[in-house]
Amino acid sequence: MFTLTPDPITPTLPIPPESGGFVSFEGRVRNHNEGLPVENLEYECYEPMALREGERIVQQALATFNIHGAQCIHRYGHLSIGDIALWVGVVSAHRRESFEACQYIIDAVKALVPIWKKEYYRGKKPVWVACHRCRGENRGRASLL
Amino acid sequence: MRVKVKYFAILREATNLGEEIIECSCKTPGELFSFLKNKYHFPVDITQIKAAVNDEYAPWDKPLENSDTVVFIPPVSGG
Repeated sequence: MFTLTPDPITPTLPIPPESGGFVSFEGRVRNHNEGLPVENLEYECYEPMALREGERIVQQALATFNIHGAQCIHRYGHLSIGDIALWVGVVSAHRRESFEACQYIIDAVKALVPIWKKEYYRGKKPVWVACHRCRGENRGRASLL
Repeated sequence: MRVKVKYFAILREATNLGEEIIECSCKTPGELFSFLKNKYHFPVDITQIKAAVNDEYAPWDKPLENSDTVVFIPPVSGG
């Protein structure tokens, strides 16, 4: 399940008794980026498409990896340093599948889901952050899915 | 051709609009982007942008139809 929320993230991924592995990832707002001190930031999303693309990614992970469940939650709006912007959780019988699926979901979300981050700095104009690492990867979904 | 265009992030700020109805002779998202870039002086090039039609990523040469909703997706930066 993929969801968006303007509120602090509250994961709800159930951990079934057959799952011996649970991997979670928290993407948190850090106080610096590319040498600049970040004061806070803002996420904007194109909600209908972000929900559709995000759900596709989670469903693709469920179809590709031998896992029991997966959840991804992305926050939007204004966030402060230390806030959780992204949460991914995966459960599986063993650890390897959970680690791999979690990595897959994070990478695909960063490359494909229409969410944009604006960073606010001390003493400088705010900037919409481009996904430098993803540019070139996100020309089409085929390279990821 | 009459389509709805929605703007986000850097393009929303460049247009000062969340969305608008555009009537033009543009037949594809690529032609529409060129038309709007000329109108609003977008601070990004087409090579940095992806197109979405009716909430799905679409090729730049996809034929547009009346009442389509077009979104130009700046480089995403979620996560």
